[in-house]
Amino acid sequence: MIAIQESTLLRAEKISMEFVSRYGFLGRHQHRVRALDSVDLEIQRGETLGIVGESGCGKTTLGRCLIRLITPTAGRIVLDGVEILALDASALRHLRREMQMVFQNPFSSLNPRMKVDDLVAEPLRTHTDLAGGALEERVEELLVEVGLGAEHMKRHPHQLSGGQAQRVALSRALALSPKFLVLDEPTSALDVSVQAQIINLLSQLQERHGLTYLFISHDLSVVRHISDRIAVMYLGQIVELASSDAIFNSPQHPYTQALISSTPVPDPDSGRERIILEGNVPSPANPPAGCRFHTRCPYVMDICRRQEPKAHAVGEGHWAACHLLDKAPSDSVIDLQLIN
Amino acid sequence: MTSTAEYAVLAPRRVSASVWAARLLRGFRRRNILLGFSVFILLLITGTGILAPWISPYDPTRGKLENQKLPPAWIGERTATKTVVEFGQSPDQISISKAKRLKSDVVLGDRIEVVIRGSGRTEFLLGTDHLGRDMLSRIIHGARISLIIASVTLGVGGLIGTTVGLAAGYFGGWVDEVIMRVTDVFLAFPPLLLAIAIASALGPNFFNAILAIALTWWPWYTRLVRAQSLSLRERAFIEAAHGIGVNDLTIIRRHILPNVLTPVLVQATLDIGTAILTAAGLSFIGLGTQPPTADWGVMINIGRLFVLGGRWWIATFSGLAIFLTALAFNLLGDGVRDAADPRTRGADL
Repeated sequence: MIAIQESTLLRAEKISMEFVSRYGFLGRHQHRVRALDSVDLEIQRGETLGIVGESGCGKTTLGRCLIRLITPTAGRIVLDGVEILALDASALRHLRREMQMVFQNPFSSLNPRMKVDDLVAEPLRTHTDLAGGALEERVEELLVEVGLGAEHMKRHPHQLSGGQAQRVALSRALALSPKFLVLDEPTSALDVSVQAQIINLLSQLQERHGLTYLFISHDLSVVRHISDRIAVMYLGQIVELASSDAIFNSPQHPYTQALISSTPVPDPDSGRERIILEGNVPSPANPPAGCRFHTRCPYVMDICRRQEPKAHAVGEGHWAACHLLDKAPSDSVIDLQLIN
Repeated sequence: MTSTAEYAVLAPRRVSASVWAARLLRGFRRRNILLGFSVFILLLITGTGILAPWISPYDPTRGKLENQKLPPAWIGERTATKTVVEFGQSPDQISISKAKRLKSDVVLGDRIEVVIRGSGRTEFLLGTDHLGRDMLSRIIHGARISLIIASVTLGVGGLIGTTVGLAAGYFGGWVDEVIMRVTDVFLAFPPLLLAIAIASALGPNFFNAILAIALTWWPWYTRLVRAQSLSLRERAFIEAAHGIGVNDLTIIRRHILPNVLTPVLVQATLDIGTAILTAAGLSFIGLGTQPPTADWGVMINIGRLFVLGGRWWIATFSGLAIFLTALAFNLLGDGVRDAADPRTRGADL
């Protein structure tokens, strides 16, 4: 086993996820979609790692794989010293208390037929022996923790506002005091004013409980606000990873640059140049050869069509995978293990 | 058997009993006459079925032979002229042996005057059968048998079907494949034919008839429940439950079952009429309830022997009872389906 630094909570190595759908007589034909292609990632204790990228780039799949809601087809994931891909079903269920997920739309992730108190009690009933008054007390405590109260306990999800429902989902995730939370676009189904409240609540909870977040979003300004580090994904791969500030101030990968230039700036005189990407995201079922971004890259070179770019360190904890950074191919290509 | 109708996977919001009642009521208003009629008939049938031993005027299985084949109360005594033939086949014919009992010197081809008894009294409201048993009592007790058969077959069929369907839809893979191929085998036969085959293989009696119908019924519920759980399985709250670490059985019980129950109940209501009809069919051909039990199918089977002789009432009233019951249950089923379907529900809820 590779020595993992004490400060690292989760380490993922070469995670690949391939979805295979069979069709035709007796499933003779198959359709393969590579949603994740050899993704490496390390998450430090107490940090928030943001994942950004277009729809369909695999960011949600990555989040689901990291807590093994779906099992990746290849790779290793170590959470707090436990190799989670090696666990059997019951050990995995047991480990669920350590890692939780909050979904995009609370109205679909909460069973419409259950009441709030039952929804929040579900994780406690599953993993603890709490019952009766003690259970009720803990449920109320959890609701207060996320800014709700006893008056919400007997309501059904449809009787809550979007923000309230997302708070219920959050209190479910917090119920077992997990170490690691995957937040899958937790604010994108909400009104802008409510988004800010939820984001602030998330920050408070992180501080209070020392939580580690993986924050998935396509909203760059939200990600910038909450994340310590940001990973940019394109077609199932991480193309750039750096601290929040570095991503926004000195993006290295052309895709990151295009993404950042697309965020609106509330200053008509900023004079910032917009990079408009041509074309559509290629299908992950048939990704382009070489650099996956070459079909849309404004700086495309010959080598991009032939060879997949390696990750280059471009600063303290900042790397990007682009041939533009191949200054002297022999010495600048670095081992990912060293950066993290 | 009704085909699997489309249902909304889930009522988008929780529906309380009072809201349900309100929807049904609105349905009644919309199709006032039909649904009112069906509910009236159903209350009547269920009421008489439950109270049969107390309200039926006579013992349904014992009669006096002197009272045999009396017509309904409103038909009085009358005379008719009949032709004497070898074997009497129609109402205006009389067999020579019977004619000789009335008048010793008749010959074939004579026309003689015959007195036809009416019940003449309100004693036997719907008349009596060939063994002098009161038809009204038999029909009242027949309601009881029909309701028992319908509820037990649908209960057993629905229970098996739902359990198996949940397993198929939730676990998928080879479990689904095996279960679905087994249901295919059952669905490949026309339902009544399969019930006949099973009932005759097991031997004709009341219990085996129930078993035969239940066995032909479950695959329909399996298909329905499987389709529902298949789409429920993909819903985010199921994934959320997995994420929390809830085990499969608890997920099925807590999250899937409550959401498939509504369409199953709707389907069951629609199927009651068909189940009663099938049971009567089995009894009619002698594979279900056996005489002397007062079963509507048995009564038609016996009564048909006397229709040509002019004793139409023995088969007619039991046939009418089956017809009304099946019709009323189908109408109620339509009402329940409309109440459960958000597309026909109207926008005010």
